[in-house]
Amino acid sequence: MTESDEPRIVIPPRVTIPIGPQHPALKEPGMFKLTVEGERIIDAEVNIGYNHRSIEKIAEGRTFLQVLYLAERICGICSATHNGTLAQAVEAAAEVEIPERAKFIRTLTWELERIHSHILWLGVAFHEVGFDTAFMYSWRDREVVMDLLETLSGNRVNYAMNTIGGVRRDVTDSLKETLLKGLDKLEERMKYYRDVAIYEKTFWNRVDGVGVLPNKIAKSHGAVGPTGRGSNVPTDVRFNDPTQAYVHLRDSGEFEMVLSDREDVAGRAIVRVVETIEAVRMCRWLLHNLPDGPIRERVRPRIQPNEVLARYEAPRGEVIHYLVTNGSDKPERWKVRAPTHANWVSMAYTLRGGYLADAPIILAAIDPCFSCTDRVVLVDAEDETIQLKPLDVLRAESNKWYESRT
Amino acid sequence: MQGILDGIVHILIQSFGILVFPGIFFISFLALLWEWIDRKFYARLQNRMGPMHTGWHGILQPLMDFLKLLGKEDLTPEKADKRSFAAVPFVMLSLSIILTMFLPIVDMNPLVPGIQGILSFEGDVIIVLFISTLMAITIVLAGYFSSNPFGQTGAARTGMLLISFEIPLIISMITPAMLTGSLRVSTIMNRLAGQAGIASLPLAYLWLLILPFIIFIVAIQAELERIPFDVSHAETEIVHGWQVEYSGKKLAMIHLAEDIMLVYAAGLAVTMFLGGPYLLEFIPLEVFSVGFASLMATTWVGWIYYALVFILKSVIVVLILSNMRTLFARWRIDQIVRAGWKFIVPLALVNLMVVQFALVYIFPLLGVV
Amino acid sequence: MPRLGKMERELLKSASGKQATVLYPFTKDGLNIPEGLRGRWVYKHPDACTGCKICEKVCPSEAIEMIECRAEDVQTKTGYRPVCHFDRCLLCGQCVESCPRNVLELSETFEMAYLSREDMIIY
Repeated sequence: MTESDEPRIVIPPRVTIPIGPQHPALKEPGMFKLTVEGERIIDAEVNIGYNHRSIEKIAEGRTFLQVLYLAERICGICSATHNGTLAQAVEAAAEVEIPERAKFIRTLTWELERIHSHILWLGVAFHEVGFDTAFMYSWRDREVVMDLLETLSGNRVNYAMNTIGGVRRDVTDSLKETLLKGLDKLEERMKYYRDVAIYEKTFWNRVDGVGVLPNKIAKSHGAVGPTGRGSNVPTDVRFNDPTQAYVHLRDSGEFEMVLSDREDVAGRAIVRVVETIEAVRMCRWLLHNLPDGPIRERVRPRIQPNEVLARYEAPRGEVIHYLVTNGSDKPERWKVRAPTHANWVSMAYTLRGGYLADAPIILAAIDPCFSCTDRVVLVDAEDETIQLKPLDVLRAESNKWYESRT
Repeated sequence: MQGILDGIVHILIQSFGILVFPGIFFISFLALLWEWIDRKFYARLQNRMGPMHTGWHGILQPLMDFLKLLGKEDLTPEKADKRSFAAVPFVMLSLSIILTMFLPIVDMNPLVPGIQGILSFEGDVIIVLFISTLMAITIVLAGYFSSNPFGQTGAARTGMLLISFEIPLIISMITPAMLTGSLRVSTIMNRLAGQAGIASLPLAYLWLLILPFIIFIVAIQAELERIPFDVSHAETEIVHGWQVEYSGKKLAMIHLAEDIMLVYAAGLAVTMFLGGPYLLEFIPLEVFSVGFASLMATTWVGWIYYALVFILKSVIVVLILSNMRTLFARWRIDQIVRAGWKFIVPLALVNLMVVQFALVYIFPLLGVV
Repeated sequence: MPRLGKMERELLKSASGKQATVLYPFTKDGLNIPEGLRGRWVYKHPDACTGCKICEKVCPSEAIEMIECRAEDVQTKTGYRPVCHFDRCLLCGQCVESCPRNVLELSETFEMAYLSREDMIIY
């Protein structure tokens, strides 16, 4: 007994582990500084802004038709989402009602996109926990829906299906047959994932009870999409505030919001898998009940001054497009809030207290899309302080920019 | 004069054995072949084609990868302990080659009955286990020498794996040693196979090998750090962990060492549990029992025959290991440690007790000795 | 319920079946390219072109440029014809849709890698 009788508590050294900006677990640049003690995460710091492309600013210099294709490129995975939501916003601003058939085809593209996005997420989730076999299988099966979308729209990623006043391509009878056949295959495969693949014990152990987001926190932190629904928060624009053909889908009474009360990553996984099956059924319903008629309506290029908020349930959650028009053929202001932006806060909560090994799967569980989300943040390279620009400073600077231009 | 000539011939044969067949060259060849089989089978199970371009169905792909890495820029991080950092790949490679030298593939010493490895002496099982533990320690050192947070986390995880899975590995290898009453790899193998004039074991004993074989396969998967135990170089979590700072020639050497460890692991399973490079001898025909062994031991036909049987049996083990790699997701380190201490270690201990009990009480009672 | 090795049957089934991947750069088998794929831009019916510049105006990425008709071209009414700077093209097909006389087309060619920007100007 040389020093003291009290038992010494050995605290493992705190190490700061950076995840990103480049990291195999992240498909896009973003940085998460994790402070770990041994294997436990004590603190998580989300640090984004590596992928800012100033899309909203670019849009102000283009016509509505051109902005449609720009909106598509906000995110590669939810391209139809942004494209369709913007079209919806512009139509609302122009006060035009689009034909029923166009509504159905637009919704069909959206739902097919949801299938592909959810299977993609499933594959990524499998990959994050090292289950590469299921990753390969799920992406192989995703090929089916990618092919369907390619046949429907002519492109695998940026579908460009919507135009202002309707859709650009029609669903012919032979295409309908192909789609129905593909949907049958997808449903069978998704049932396999629902019943078998996610219950492989090694995978289940990695998601069960990991990244818990209690219902209360999910509500207070404003979680949207499958992240919220996995914590039993009934938030789904398709059912709460339906637009387009979702009105008919809801009224048919055959479809219900998918909820899980598990509150962990497993809950989010189940919500996504079951939702994919629902989406397959929705697509089938839409194809069977496709009304006849024209697929597009002419909308004049100049749109009267208006202020519109368009909502849609993207695969990742609620997406909001806020559009101000000024009577010209270009938007006055267009603001996009992608679902990931609403989920950051809840994600930082779920990271704390988890294992370092679980960080990738927790990060992936909200299906983050960095490029959708990035805002301007000035980071000082020397001391890494982050400086957020308040609105008035931004406005003063933008005024200066405009003055220097003219 | 005759004695000197004999000595020279003996030395030549021995050095041929060490350098070419079944020594370093043959083992490296097997290592690259095993990697190809592993990758190809992994791909097939995942409904992919796997490597297709280099050579017949991509058979030269591992070699190409190795050569490509040799030509790449070799970087040493500024903060790393430079000499030790550079030493680790060499140590790993040489240790893994030494390990494979203990595997009895062909008969290197015809004076002793039965097939002997290049290195073979009484008690070499302990040396083999010791060196394979050293391998794991070099991995820990590799992680710490690179002074990278990912590397250090990986090294810590390797340490955890080591303490949980070395024990079942050792216990599972003790079972054949107990059954045969020897600590020499070649004697264990020859007695279990009942070959080469060595008194064979009753068939009833072999039933006791099933459980240790399963434990061995699980533990060796952890030794090799493959899914579901690949926490120490989990690519999505800690970016290849302890290997993260290695590049160029050093990485090539590490990869080769890992492949050679796969040869060693599969070879050890074949030697300790699957009867080594004997196959036709198990057929109860007179051709294969009288004089076959001595013929095989003295001519070059025997070398080819034994090597082929060894390859065939090892491939089966490699396929089992690849299937395991495909079937599972990566466990978290605490889950692995829990599984190790809660299930595998107690199972190994129970198995040890059962074997001892059977040897001392049950078999004498039944009359099988 | 969760259990180890749930997917083993599926694994063995797919190992014995046909593989999903294709040997793409070597063969084009199994690619199933659909009809109506939006691929490489083509100036298909130069005879019908009037040189109205609508395609240039609608192009969201400023990929289409109107140049004066060269000697070897079909002379249009205004004396201008479109060329596509394919490095900027985003394959949306708006020019095809907006063209009043169906001059342009997106073909089904999908292999669109070039060595320089000059090669990517489609006449």
